[in-house]
Amino acid sequence: MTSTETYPGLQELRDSFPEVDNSANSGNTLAMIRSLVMSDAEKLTDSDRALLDVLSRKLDVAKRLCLSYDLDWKKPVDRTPVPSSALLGVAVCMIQFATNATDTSREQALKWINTAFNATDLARQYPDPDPVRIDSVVSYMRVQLDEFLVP
Amino acid sequence: MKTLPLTVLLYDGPIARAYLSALYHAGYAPRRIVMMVSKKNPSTGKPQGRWLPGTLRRKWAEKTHNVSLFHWPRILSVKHAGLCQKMVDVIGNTLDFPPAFFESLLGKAPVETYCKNVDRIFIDGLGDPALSKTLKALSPETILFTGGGILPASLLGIDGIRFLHIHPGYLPHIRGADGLLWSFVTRGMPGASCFYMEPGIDVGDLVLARELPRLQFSVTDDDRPDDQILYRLLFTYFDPAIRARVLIDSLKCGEDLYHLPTTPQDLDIGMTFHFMHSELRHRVLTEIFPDAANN
Repeated sequence: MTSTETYPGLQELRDSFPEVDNSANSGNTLAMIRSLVMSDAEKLTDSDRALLDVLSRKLDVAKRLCLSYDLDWKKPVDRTPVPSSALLGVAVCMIQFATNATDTSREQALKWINTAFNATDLARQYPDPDPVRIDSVVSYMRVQLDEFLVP
Repeated sequence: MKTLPLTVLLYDGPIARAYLSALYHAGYAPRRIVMMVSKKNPSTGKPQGRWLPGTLRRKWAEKTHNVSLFHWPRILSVKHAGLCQKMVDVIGNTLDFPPAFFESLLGKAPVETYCKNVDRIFIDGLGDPALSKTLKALSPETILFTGGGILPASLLGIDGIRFLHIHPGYLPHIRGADGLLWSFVTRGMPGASCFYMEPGIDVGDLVLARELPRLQFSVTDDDRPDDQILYRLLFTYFDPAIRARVLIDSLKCGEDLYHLPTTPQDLDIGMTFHFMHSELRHRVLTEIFPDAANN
């Protein structure tokens, strides 16, 4: 992979991440995203990869991300959209995992990058978006994508 | 003209015309075309010509479908004639298709040009029981799927019917949507694959998977259309042509189209892609349509 640069606002993103119910288990979207945001981009586990697949399906196909789903991550249980900051967290995770995680194929990396952009699009559609923060994440993602695509 | 033991399930559009025209130019005709005429307008989704009596209504719907599905190919062939000609020349020379093949992608010729035996069925989508009934009556038969939506289980499960599909991606590596673009960016070249359809996305047994030359169509900065137009140009000429090439090559795999030799896909390889985001798509389109000044 081509880049090891971390998103400059990562720590702020971690610090400002919405509170998560500690009793959360499978199906809780915020708990899932929080675990990804806090994880080391270079050491992805199989479980992390499975969660990233779930997020890709929700953001690329369903074009929405709800607060909770059933245990198979199929049907929404709580249809409330996740906060915008969580979507930006997903975007940053996806792009960092794509460009930094070892044992990640080019196909997988590009799929995650694609999802990252979809996450920021969704964040822009929220009723009260934070354009400065979204633009900052998108600018970072563009640089990472261009570096990734350099032959 | 050799008649093939094949029924084309026609959802009229550039892809279906590419298949029919490629067969025609290779000296083949399918033994039957089942032409799906939609009761709903493909652009608006509204019922078509409800004020008209039965036969006229179907003819009206067929005309509307043709106008709708070939709208952009016809517009592009006039408004971006220079770039279209370049694509026709490059693709034609590489994939061995004559200029008449590309003319056919504009959908102006009657369908009967490619096969005298055309059944038209007036339906409300692929799940319409009338379609299922029509196909059951053809069993056993090999059917070339040409689009129109996701093939429902009610059709895939018909005894004696096998559906052939050409996917514009190199299987098993590239499944899902925007196969042409994902093939280009992940593998550096386009690809296409012929397989017998099964429930699931692009997972059936493979007849043929091919990677094709990395074609590029340079454009000057002044003449460069926006990404949406470039994307439409790909789906007017490039995507239909690579599918048609793989269809013709697949026919060389055996005489009995119902029992062509196949290889099961290793589903642990590759992945299912979704539609490509405009940011990534822009970069892929810049690769496929590079700036002429840099070439």
